[in-house]
Amino acid sequence: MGMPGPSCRTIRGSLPLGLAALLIPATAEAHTGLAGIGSFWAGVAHLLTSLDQLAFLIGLAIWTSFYDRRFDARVIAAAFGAAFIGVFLGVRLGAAARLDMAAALAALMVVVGLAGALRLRAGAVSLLGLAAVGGLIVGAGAAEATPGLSVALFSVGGSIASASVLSYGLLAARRLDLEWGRIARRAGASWIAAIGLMVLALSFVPPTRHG
Amino acid sequence: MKAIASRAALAVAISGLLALIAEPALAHTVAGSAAGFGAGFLHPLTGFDHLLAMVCVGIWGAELGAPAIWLLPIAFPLIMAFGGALGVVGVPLPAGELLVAISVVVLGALVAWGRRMPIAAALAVVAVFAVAHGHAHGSELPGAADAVAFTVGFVMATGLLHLAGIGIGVLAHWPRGVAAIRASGLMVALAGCYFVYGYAGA
Repeated sequence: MGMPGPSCRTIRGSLPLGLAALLIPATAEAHTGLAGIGSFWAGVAHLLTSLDQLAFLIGLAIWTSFYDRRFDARVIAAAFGAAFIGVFLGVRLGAAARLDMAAALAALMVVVGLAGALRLRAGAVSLLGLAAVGGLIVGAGAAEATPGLSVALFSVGGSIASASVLSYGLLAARRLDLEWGRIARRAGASWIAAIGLMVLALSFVPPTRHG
Repeated sequence: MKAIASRAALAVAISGLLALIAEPALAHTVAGSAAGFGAGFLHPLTGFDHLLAMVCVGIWGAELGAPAIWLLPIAFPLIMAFGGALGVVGVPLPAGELLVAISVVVLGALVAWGRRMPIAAALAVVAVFAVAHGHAHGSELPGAADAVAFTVGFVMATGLLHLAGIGIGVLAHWPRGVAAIRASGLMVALAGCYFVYGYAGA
């Protein structure tokens, strides 16, 4: 009275799969899975898994896309160099100073978001200055993940990732050059400003109110 | 017997699949449980009052035409974030939830009415309600395990709801579309009345 062989095997094979599926953690652990992939890739992965850093860079790309194309390379270069230096700066500053980096980055998100939403043309100095300051803060904020890693390699990885995100962001934004595309860019910039404003507000909340 | 075995295998496979997608329930009304992007993204989608109001903002913008069609979706997240910031830092908004419910009535009625109005007036109406909606989101934010992800999620969901509303509002280009939009505006307003009744009675 046994079941046909193949079907029994299917069930026996499915049960361990189901149990294995139960063991898979469902929540995203953004920064905890970076160990063991090397300093360079840890730098890359840290930036790509930091939503606030990504949001700032995309906001910067959107704002830059409202400027002339000749600014693209300069903005990317400024952010790249500043992010590279920023990691070393963050390591020097230590943990206490790095706590404020999230708030500073949120404030910059508000600035680039508003500038993009309003299609503000504030001049090359403002654009490049903000790219440099933002790069420094992105780098300094990422320094928290360097213990046990090569700071130089981590920094190279992080700054290349920053430059890549900016480059791809600019490529995408410049493709959206029709009327609806411009509106979409401005709406995206307003989203980034909104996110920055909320995160900035959150930095004023005592830690006891956090989950 | 073979059929029973096949069904059992299918049941095990489905159970495994369900186990993969099973996550802790991040309910709309439980303040401390909101965690991460998914919870933030679902927050405006699982609250019908938020959902209907956001879609109506998009539809109304499309009905009003340029510049409201793009100005409202650009301005709304910023003003909503201002309200959200107030909620985050704990500034109370008297009858905030009631205001959210009233926003559904008013925005639904405006969609049903379908008349043009000055952009400044439209912005003022939307601004008041954006603050109320933002405050509701913001007051839950400090409880989120990953506040940045939660914020990204709900801002994106809100923007996409506006986009959906604009898409529906484009139906106004067709004569029957106008009637359909007005009828749906009326239904939203009636749903809003139900929300108001619920909050006022609570």
